[in-house]
Amino acid sequence: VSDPFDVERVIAALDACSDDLEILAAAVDVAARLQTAVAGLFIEDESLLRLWSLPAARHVTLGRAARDLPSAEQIEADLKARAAQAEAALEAAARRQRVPWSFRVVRGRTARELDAATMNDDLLMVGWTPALPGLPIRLGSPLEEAARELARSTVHVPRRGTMARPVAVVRAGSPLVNRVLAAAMRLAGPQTGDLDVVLSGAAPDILRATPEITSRLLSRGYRARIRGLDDVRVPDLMRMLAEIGADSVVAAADVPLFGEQDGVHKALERAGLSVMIVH
Amino acid sequence: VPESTSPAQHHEPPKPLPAAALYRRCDPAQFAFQTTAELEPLDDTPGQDRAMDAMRFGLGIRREGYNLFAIGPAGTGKRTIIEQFTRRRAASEPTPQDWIYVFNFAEPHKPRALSLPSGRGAALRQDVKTLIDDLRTALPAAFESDDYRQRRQSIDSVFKDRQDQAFRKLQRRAKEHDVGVLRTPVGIGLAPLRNGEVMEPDEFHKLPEAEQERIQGEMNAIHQEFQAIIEQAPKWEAERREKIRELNQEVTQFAIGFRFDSLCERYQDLPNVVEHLKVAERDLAENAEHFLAAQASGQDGVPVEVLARHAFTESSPYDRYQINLVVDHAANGGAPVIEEDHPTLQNLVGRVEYRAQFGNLVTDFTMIKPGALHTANGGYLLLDARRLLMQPYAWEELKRALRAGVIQIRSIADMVGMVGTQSLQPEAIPLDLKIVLTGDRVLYYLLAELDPDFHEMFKVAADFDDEMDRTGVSETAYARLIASITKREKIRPLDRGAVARVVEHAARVAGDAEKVTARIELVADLLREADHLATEAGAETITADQVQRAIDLQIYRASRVRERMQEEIRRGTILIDTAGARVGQVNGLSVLQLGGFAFGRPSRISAQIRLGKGEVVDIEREVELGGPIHSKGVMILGGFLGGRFGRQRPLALSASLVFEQSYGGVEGDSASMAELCTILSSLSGVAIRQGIAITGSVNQNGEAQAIGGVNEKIEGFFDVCQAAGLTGDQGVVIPASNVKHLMLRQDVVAAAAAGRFNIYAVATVDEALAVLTGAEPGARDASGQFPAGSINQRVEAELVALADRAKAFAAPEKKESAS
Repeated sequence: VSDPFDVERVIAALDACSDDLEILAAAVDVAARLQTAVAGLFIEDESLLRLWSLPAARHVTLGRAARDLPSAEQIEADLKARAAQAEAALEAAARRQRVPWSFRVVRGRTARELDAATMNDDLLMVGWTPALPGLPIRLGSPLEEAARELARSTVHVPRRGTMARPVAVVRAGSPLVNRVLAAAMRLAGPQTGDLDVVLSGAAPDILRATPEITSRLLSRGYRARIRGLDDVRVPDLMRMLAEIGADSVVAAADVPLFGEQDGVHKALERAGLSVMIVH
Repeated sequence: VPESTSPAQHHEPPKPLPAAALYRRCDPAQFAFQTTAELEPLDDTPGQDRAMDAMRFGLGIRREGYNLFAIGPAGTGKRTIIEQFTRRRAASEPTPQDWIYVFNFAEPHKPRALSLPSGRGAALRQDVKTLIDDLRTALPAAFESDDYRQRRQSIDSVFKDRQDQAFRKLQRRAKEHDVGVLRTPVGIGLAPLRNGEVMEPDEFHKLPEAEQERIQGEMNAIHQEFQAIIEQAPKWEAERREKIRELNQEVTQFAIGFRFDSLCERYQDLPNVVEHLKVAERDLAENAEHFLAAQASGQDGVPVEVLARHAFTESSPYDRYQINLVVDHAANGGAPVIEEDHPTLQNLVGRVEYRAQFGNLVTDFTMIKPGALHTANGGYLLLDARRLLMQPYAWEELKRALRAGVIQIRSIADMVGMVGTQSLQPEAIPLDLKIVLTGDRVLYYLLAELDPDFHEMFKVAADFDDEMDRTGVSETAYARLIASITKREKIRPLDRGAVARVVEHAARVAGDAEKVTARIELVADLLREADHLATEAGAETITADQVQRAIDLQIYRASRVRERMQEEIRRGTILIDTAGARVGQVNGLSVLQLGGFAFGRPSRISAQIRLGKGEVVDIEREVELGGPIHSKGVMILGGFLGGRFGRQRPLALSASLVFEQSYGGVEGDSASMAELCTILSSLSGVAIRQGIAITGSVNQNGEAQAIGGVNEKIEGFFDVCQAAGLTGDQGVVIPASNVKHLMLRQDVVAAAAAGRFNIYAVATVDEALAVLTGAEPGARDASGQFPAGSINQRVEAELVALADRAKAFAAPEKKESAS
């Protein structure tokens, strides 16, 4: 029987705004759990490079003096340096865990390059882009936006995030239930034990879905601990995750909260949890 | 003009004193008790009426500066007397107020001092502690309530929505004008778009100049709007925080209000306490975020600086509402009596303690510790003056406190102006107490002489006598004093024979047969030691034998040096003759005081006469071994010689006096009569009996004057004579005015009774000479002449001869000068 969550590669993507190289170690760790290879992808966004050369462009400096802004040349040099650092970090992590690895740098439109570099069976991992100081709302990086629009299974990893104790979040009756459960089990490891599942939906739907989920997990050696939520909202979900002691969430993309513009990041910011959105 | 005739009248040589004059017994039969167990202890100490009256006066008068200085030698029991006296008095006086230190919400470095009726300080402290304990649970509960959460979320939502809307509106506007908003590594970039992509720089340069300017204008406008929103964001955030602060205050006030109201009601009779509680309540409501931070660090909405403050401090935010009870009279009745045994500056005025925190020393009002002035305030403070004066700044600060009438806590660092760590300035507390200093007389007179403030602040001197009259009544009172000591010290009772022996010993300690010592501690020591001997003997009462044995052991333990000295005399190392007669040589007597033990030491005094100008040379003074009083005594001898023999002609002699084999200092004039006798012996050629020693001072008229340590001196020579063998020709000449001081050892008294050792009391130097030489001193007759062959006649003849010789020496010089 083929695994509903069969991953070809884990792709760790970074761009100029990603300042957390620990995403690479996390990607290697996930690849080791999924028994697959890891590929590093550093995207040099051409829009960014154009911006720096365009006389009409403006920079909202957020407290930094305008004269301190880097030049186009400095941006180029900075990108090269970041890419080199990322490659070295990936190589070190992969060698430690003996995971096959590769790394490449591409330049172009982020969405297009990301699409070109990934396939449906790849698991994309995107690093943490911190909030901008003084900015009242969160503005994601081009890479984050591209990953969200790409409709591929994606892991968003906060700084120092781990995925050793995942909680599955699915909508009752969703076609993604099996993939989410499979992903959660593979991340949790081969050992038997409890697996926490948050089922959203109307009460009858939850009751209907529960036996199937229970038996599916049981057949793989996991005891299901299912909790129902009629609507997945950040405060309720956070309280539940805190009670469970989870460090990560494996969520179906059709759970409304995780499809929202800021849903994932709300969770990330509040609790430092890793989130895998399964398509 | 006849030479002075007075007082050299003819006298029979003095007879030895009868044994009864050498020791005044205390008759046990006079006591109406068998043992001291039957006696009522004394309330007061006998013989200290003057001091006790001064105490009553000094403690009773409530006027500024009427503090006491209890003067007296150590061991008179004055501290015990003072303590008992003040405690009796204090017990009937009102209990003073309690004092607390509380946080000063207006000036945190100046903690406030509040007074409360006695006992209420502890109650308030407990009430506030209970209140704080309540708040520890009540406040978090209030902030975790659904109502609070909803109102808090509502505030957050309003401001979040406002920010989101403003930014989204701006993003929409940017999009409408084909302006892209991009996240960059350093912030936000705004760029013109073409077909959804950031315009190529070349493409932009190819545009007509007018178009470029239009785009630049639009970019500038949007950029300014972005900047405006970003600048506005902190103001919105501040507004949000203010709203939350108001909400927190409201919630806090709701949670604490009725609790504080209840507490204020309980202390409504104490306006200062109620005022403090009101201020504390207001402060608590205004600082609710501190409690949220303390309860749940990291809670959303707590200002970062508040969290940081709590992360880096060990103190709880509730600490500032605590009560520091520095003076608590809850358990006391009456005024306090405090005896500060270690009167350092800090132990007197209190201290502010510190704790180490991340390498710094920090403190707060809860670390204010009281001093003796705090605890004794409203009552009495007993201090040892010497110990007080030995502590740096303690005396000065005590005077400052008395002068200012307040207790101000200050450290030595403050006093010397050192730059210390940040400290507190606790509010001063009004001071109203009596200070009783104890010290010896020297200290009292030095302070009176050298410290101009002393008399202003210690106006009453309670002068404790070191001895008391020994009469039948006072001997009975002394017996009761002994009974008091035995009860206090848990010493077994004394039978009346033992009491009599203690009284006799007390007279000997006083050095006066008509007095007894008031140095109670010495008597107590003797009783303790006798009690120990009685324990060893298994006796139920202490007997006279055990008292005597205790005295003997005291002497034995202390007399190593005395015995070594006696041994050296016996072996002939120190030359003291106790038989035969020598011209110009006499046995003088001195007293050595080593520790608490005094003993007599015979010294050979010799005189040499030669031609001179009438001076008496004190060799001890010449080599700076003689003290001023000794020198004065020697110079008086010149006065005597001039008065008796120098009216008709100049004294052409020079007399040298020396204490043989004396290598230490000589002080006092008790050897002046011996020295005069030596000079007169040397001049007259009449030998002095070496078996007789002499002590006493003499005035210019040749009258013998009393000296100190007469018992020890007699016993010192007796021991030397006894070692050499008592012959019946040995003895000691003493001034007649010292007879009343005689309380000699029993072996000396026994020897005197048997006629083997004699004590002679003399009124004049002539009487002394008669005893010492066995010759007639001689008195001038009506013609002014001494009887032929008398000592004085021989002295005068020698002085005439010396004068003639001097004149003969001077004559040739006169001729030369005339020519």
